[in-house]
Amino acid sequence: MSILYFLFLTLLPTSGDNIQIEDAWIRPANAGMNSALYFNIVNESGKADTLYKATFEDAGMVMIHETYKDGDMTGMKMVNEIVVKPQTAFELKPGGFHIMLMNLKKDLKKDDKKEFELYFKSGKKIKGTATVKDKF
Amino acid sequence: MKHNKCKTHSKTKRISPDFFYFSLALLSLTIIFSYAPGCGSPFTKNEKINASFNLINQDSSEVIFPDDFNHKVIVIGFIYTNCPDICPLTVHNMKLIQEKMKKEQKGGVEFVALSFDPERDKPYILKQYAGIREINLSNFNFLTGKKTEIDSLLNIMHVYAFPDDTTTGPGGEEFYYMTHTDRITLIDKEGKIREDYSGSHADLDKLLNDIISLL
Repeated sequence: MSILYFLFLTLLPTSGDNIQIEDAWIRPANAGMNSALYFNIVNESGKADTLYKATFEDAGMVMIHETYKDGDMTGMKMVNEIVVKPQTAFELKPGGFHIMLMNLKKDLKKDDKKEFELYFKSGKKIKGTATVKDKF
Repeated sequence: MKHNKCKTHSKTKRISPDFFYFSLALLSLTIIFSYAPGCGSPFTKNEKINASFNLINQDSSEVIFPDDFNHKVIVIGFIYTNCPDICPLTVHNMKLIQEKMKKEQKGGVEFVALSFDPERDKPYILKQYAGIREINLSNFNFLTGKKTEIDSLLNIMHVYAFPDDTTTGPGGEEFYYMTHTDRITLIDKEGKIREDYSGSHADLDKLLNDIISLL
């Protein structure tokens, strides 16, 4: 019985002991428009993990996106996931990967604090708080 | 008495005609190239904008570009407000330059953010966009207008933008994102395009120095 109980516990999503989310921030934006959420994923564990989904309290839709450059031209594309290798950090930053926040329900004003959640294939679900700022 | 039969030679050396004409040609070429773009000038361009464009700013006021900014240096960036990543960097860079110039009490510069997505970027959208980013609009205009007018201006500025990635929302609504040139362009007081810079990763020191050199 105790073995079953132990197995049951391992199936529950953890609070993200081995994955840390640092320096989460968002650009200011108006309601109805789009913004981007950036942060650092620190994988302290010995296994790779994969971010595949994010939610944000005030967005109509949330997707993982990557900005790309081709000469003078720049564009964006949706990506399904971000793999974070063991014992490494992966930075979502301007000009690269970001969490696209679409069709905002409210204005995001400087210094606002907003909640988000990140989902990993390991089963981890990590909540975070991002600050709205003009960080470049 | 012997006459000195030695000839006395004049100490004045005569320049040969060949050497004279060669030097003159060299001097002429130096003068010509020193005024050509890229040779002695810090700028790589010198293209006059030979047209006027009827646009609207964030206050729904008509703006004739570039005529309304005649005798001013223009710093123009190209954006669309639904862009979450690159365009905010462009606008922020322009804002930083505007603040530096104000701090150094240097006037005579106009900042223009031109939208290449006029279907969505109406004046009130641009006004809100500027407001939430705390842009000082005293010498900063966000411009939009008829698509044909904007496309013509983009063509002259060698800026390209087109709808690309499209996403369907939960209610069936479609959101499109644009692939576009990442650009800030510097225009001098005579309405000539003088230099292009990356919009999102502009070398701000160079841009600032270039602006000052045109004042």
